[in-house]
Amino acid sequence: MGHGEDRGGVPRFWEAVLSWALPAELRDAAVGDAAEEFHGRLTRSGGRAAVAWYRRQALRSILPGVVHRIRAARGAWRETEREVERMGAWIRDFGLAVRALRKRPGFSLTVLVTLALGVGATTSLFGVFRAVFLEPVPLPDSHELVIVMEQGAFGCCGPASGPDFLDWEERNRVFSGIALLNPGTFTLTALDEPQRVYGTFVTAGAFDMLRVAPLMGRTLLPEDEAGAQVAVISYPLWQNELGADPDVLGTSLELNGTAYTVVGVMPEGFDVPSPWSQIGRHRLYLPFERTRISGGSRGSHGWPVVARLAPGQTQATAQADMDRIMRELAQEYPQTNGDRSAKLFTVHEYLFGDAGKQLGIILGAAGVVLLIACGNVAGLLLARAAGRESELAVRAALGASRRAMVRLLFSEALVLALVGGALGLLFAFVAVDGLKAVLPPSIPRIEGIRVDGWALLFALGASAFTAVVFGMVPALLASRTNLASSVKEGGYATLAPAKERLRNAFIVGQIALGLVLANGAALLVRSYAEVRGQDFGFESEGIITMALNPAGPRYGDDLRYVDYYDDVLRRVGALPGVVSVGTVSRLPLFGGSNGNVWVEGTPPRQNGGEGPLVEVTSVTGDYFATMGIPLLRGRLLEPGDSSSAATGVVVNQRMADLAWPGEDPLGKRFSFNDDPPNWLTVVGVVGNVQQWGPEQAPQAQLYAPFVRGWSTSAYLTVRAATDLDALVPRIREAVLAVDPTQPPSDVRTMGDRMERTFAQRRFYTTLIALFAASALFLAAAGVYGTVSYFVTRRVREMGIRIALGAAGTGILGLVVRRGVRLSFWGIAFGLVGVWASTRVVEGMVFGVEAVDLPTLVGGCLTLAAVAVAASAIPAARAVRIPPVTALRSE
Amino acid sequence: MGEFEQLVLLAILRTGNDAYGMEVREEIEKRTGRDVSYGAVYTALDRLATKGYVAHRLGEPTAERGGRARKYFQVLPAGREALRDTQRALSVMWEGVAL
Repeated sequence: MGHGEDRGGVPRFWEAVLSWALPAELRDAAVGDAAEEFHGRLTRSGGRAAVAWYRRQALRSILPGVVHRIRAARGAWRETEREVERMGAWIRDFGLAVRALRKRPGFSLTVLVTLALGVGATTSLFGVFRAVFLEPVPLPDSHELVIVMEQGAFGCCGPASGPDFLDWEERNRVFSGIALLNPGTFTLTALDEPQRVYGTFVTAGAFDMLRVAPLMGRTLLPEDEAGAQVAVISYPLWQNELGADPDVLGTSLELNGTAYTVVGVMPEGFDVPSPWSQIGRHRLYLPFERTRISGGSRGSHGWPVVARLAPGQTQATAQADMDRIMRELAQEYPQTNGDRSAKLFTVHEYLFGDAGKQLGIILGAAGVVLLIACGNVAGLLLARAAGRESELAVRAALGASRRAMVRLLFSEALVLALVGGALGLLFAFVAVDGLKAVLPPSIPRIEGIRVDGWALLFALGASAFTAVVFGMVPALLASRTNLASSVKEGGYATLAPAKERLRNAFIVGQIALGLVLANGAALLVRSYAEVRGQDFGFESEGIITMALNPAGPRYGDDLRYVDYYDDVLRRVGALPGVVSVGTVSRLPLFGGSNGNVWVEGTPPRQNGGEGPLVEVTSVTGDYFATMGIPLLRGRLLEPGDSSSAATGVVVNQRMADLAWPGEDPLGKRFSFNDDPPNWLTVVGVVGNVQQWGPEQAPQAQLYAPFVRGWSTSAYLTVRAATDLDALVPRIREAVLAVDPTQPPSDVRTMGDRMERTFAQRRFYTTLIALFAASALFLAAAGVYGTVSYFVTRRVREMGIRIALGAAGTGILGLVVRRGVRLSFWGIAFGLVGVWASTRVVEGMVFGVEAVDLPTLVGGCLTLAAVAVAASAIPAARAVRIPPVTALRSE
Repeated sequence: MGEFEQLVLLAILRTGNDAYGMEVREEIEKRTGRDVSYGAVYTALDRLATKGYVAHRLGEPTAERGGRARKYFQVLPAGREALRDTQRALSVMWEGVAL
């Protein structure tokens, strides 16, 4: 019986007919009723009779169905007719508005350009803001992801220890998943040329926790944690290094000399979040061996933790639960956990907190520009409405309702806002491409920046806002026309006190906002110059740097990497064009590691947390000469210091001042350990270097040979007398000649590194400066436009006054005084705004006060000058006009 | 309100003011002897719902119905009022009329 049987024998064709005839809303229930009755008839009177009954039902339903449809259609049509009638009035007004605006191209163009600038700037930045900050982590429900850090006596915050992690995993009641990471650089030697790739060991649960399925193969399994040599690779690694090989699963990758089998490929955009890298930096994932986690020391903290909040948990409840666990651990293991606590961060705030704040400030600046643009438009609309008072009065006299007049004026504002918004959107499309090119690479997810539906909505909202708020207010005010006086005055344009006040408020507001933004921008520019102009304690020009990270079984023990560095230095130093060469564990400005020391001659310490905090830097070769760090006293490190028995170290001036104030530091001793002390002897003092970044003052620092074993990885620094670009391949060859399995990575000139360090600050500064410039320009144009418009409208009045014997200079003075008064109030409010904005600005500036007097005075004078010029220039023109012409001007 | 709409409202009320389409159809058919189609019943119910005279609740779907749920209709107060008005108008007009 085919398909008929599926539906219990109901004839399908007739069911379709019946279904068509029924009202959509009730169709299902009716067809169900018919089926039910059909079944009843089937048992009572047999199949043939039941089918006949059903057919009759369907046929007899056609007529009611047709009638129903006709009725519905007629109802809809009537509804439409009424709608069209209502729309008609609006459409008429839109037509009028478009025609009126085309008649005044100057006015319209000014408004449109102003709006386009305001809307375009805000929309493009909204695009950046959204991509970078609102959607920063491309993982499902990423707002539930948290990073769990530990903190001890040193303060916030560091990674966890393995045993702590295992206890968290077992005891927590707030996470639906928790994962431990051990990121690092791996040497991938399976390819034509060895490469360094950044990846991470990770506990197997991470993938389920992140709710991302593999693109191919599988993710890591709990049984892999028993020591399986398998790897899950990222999409970029598969696409680029492995040539998008479709048969990649099951192939072998040699990482740090060990073979790993590829078992899975993750989809594009996936990454395990880590506090130490941006999303997308890990290129491969290896199973974290359970025995390595449990075998680690509870007091040794090196592995970051990521977790997902269970449903119903918040950051606060999870923090409370972690506090509970840490209290338990502190009691159970007072030696290692006595003073330790845990702190939760959302992945969003951890990775993007700062960028988000800065972008927020930029968005705020863009908003100010939009506000000023709106103020401009409103001022112009108001001025225009004032010029049309007699026209409106005539309309009112002819019987136009106030509502109709508001509609007319509002239509004009709406047309302007919509066209301006559309132009702004165009501008935004262009601007977004431009922004992508200039954004510093430190900003995450640049490729995601675009003008999308949301940005579109934003632009629309911004335009509508302008139209409603800044179009409606003048429209309402202008429609409140005093019939008699307007007609009597014969089109002579003045403003009622309310409108006059409003216009003045717009001018004052624009000046104030412009001043706030100008102050902020000027401070940022000066602050940037201050940061760049510092003496960082080293020379950055003419230096090539690259990362060396000898890894693999060959470098496992016995400080073999020290010999490796010596060999590299010898080979690179012999290259023609190389002036000097050295290695350092961490480059200046790029952080370091530190510990507290016990200075000989001071009282013994109670615990390891006391004593001066000292940066520990390992160096070999001519590092100081290469970086231009001056020797102030004593001597530099010599080959003789590179034996395990020697104790000589070099310290910087800051450490000498801190540990031995007023004394000769040479020959003085200090130690990191208490019992027994491992004494180190000062043999020389060098200049201070800003190790922790351009905005961090130099710290106490010591330089020791690599043989002390404080660092295995290093940066090679090469000072060259020749072209740096040409030298790089030869240095690379020399390094590979020492060990072909250990390629250098992260090759850059020191100058380039500095540029990148400053790129973000430069970007923000440039952007804010651009905004401030456009804000000032718009404010000036707005003030000029509005003031001069009104002065021009009063030419006739001036003509009468002059005809009656008033001195031209007297009138000029009157007008200019008004301009000065307005700018005075604008500046007064602006200063209040500047004061209020200092807290925001303080976080962004370096080396300058949040309120910068020269900047402020300059800004005030500029704006005042603009306001005065805006009054004086048209007024001066007006008083020169012969009174007769002025009188005829209407 | 049309005659058929009145019949539908009355049929719902007769079956305890909670009737689904099949009951309404059968009730009208049984009492008037007219052959009534589902199309007529449901278009009338749709109109009555639009006027605010009836509302419905969803019942359980059964296999016999092809998995479609029943809709049980109730006459709302407005529907009762409209019925009463019609009846009153008719009885006033019938007064003194003999056919």
